[in-house]
Amino acid sequence: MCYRYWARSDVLFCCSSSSFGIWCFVFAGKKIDTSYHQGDGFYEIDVDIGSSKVAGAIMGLVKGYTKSLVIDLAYLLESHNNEELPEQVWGSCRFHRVDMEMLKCYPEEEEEGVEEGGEGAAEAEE
Amino acid sequence: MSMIQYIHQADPKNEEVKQCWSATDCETFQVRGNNYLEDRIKISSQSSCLQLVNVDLVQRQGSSFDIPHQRISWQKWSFVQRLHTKYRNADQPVTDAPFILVINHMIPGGMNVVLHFRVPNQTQEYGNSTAVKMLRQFMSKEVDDDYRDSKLKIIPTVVEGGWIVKRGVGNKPAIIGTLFWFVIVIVFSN
Repeated sequence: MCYRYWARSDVLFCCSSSSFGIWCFVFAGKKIDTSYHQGDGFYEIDVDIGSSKVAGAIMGLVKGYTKSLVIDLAYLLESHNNEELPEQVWGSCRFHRVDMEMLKCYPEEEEEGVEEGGEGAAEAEE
Repeated sequence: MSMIQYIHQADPKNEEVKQCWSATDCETFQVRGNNYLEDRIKISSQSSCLQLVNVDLVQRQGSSFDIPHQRISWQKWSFVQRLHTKYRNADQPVTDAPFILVINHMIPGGMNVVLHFRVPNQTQEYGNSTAVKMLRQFMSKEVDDDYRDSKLKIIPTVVEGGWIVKRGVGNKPAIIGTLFWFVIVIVFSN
């Protein structure tokens, strides 16, 4: 038995058969919100991965596995005309088996009260 | 307030490479070559023009623990502010501090992965390269956010890991500002 369906929403395509299956999901999420902030002596690019539900869900899956992965991230600007070619990568970062869950091992209860106070103070300053 | 985990830079002498970051050789990445618009040939990139100086992992705590920080460099404990404080304490003008490009990934669950790159000034190596000139234009007020969205590109690669994850992520560049595509293939049998 084999069934397929297409949808125009986030999950575009899915197919499966009963005895063995190959599932294939192609996600076309909405764009990831990116904001740009000029500071004094620095420039910040905020990439909000949670703004795309699909990207956020994938991130949630990957988060548990990063301790067994080595991941490279490289950044660059796309060139659209001949003067800007060839492209050159700004820089890249390699994450060696970073355990993102480990951050939760710290004692939380003791600091909670202090943390909240600090939060308010930080917001007041802004 | 937040908890910062300083994952340290990889030590080449240490064999067990775990829980750390390193700046990699950018020559492994394929980018558009000299005549890409005509022949569509991609070439290996030159070495990186910005220097990766620091990586922070931040887990937010307190009342709004699941909302990741925005504008993280304005926080007192951030790398940029600590760097500026260091200059102030040494009685050096803050303007002497290197210009930092901050890339802040806001991950659901109140987590930030923050990369800090040093942008070379015009006297340093790559200071006058095309890529850095484009970056300066990218950061200037002459262009708007739509233009920036259409330009910024990220290449994710899984170097070591399961086959499925490797194939799923691939190493095709993606423009994060425009549209996000992701393919997951799950193969199973019973």
